[in-house]
Amino acid sequence: MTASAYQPYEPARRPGGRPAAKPGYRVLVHRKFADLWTALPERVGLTAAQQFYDHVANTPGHPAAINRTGILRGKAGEPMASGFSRTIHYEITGAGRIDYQFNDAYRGIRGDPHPVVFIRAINLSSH
Amino acid sequence: MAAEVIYTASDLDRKRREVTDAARRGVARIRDTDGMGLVLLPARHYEVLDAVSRWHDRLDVAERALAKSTVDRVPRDFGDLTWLRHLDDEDLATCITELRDAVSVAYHDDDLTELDQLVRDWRVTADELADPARRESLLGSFNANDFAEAERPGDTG
Repeated sequence: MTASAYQPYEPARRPGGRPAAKPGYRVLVHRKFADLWTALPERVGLTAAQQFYDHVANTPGHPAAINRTGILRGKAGEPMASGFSRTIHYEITGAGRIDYQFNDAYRGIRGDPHPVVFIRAINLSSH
Repeated sequence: MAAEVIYTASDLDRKRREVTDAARRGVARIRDTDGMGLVLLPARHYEVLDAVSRWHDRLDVAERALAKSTVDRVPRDFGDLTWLRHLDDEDLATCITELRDAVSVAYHDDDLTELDQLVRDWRVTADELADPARRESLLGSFNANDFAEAERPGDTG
C-alpha cells in the first residue's frame, strides 16, 4: 500500500512557521547597585534571586506569583521618562526589596524598540 | 421611617436575637440600668470608625509638622508616623492629601482595604527614600549610562 500524502490526523503546519516566542525583557541594574545585585543570591538565596529575575524578565507588569509587589508613591513612583512604567517595589520576603521600572518599547542606543527592565534600587537591609 | 428602638439591658437576655439582628443591620442602642447609653455594632464597622478617627488625628499631626520649617522639624513632630520624616515637603503634602481621600473612602465605603494599601505603599516609599543612595537613584533624572546589564543570578557565561 502506497502511503498517501494526505494524513488526516496530522496537524497542519502553522502558516508562516513557528510563532515567534514572546521576547523577554532585557534586565539592567543601576551601576550604584551592581555590587548588591552580585550579592543577591548570597543574601536572599539563589532560588529567590532567580524568581525575581524570571519575574521581571517575563512579566514585570504583573503581580508576582510568589512574592509581594506594590507601587512606590510620590515622586519616587513617577515614570523616569515617557514610555516607562511607574516604580514597582518587589519584596523578597524578609530579605530584600528591589525597585524597578519597565519599558515595553525602549529605544536606547540600539535604536529599535525593545522591552527593558531598569532596576533602580536594591535594599538588602533587614526590616 | 421606623422609630428608633432603644433596648434595655435586660433585652440582651430576653430579646437576644432581636438585639443582635439590629446590631448586624447597623447599630443596636441599649440603655443600661443606670441610664448610660450603649451601642452594639458589627466589629468591622467599629474597626473602620476607630481607624478613621485615628487617621484624622494622625493627619492633623502630620499637617502641623508640614507647616513647620524643615530645619525646625524633629521626628516626634510626626507623632507615631515618624517614617514620614523621610519624605520631602512635596511628597509629604501629596501623602497627606491622598491619605485624607482614602480615609473618606474608608468611612463611606465602610472598608479599610484601600486605606491600608495606601498607607503600606507610602510607608515602603519612605523606607526606600531613607537611604541616601536609593533616594538619589529614585529621585534622580534618568540617564541610560547609569545602567548596566544584569545577568540572571546563578547563570554563568
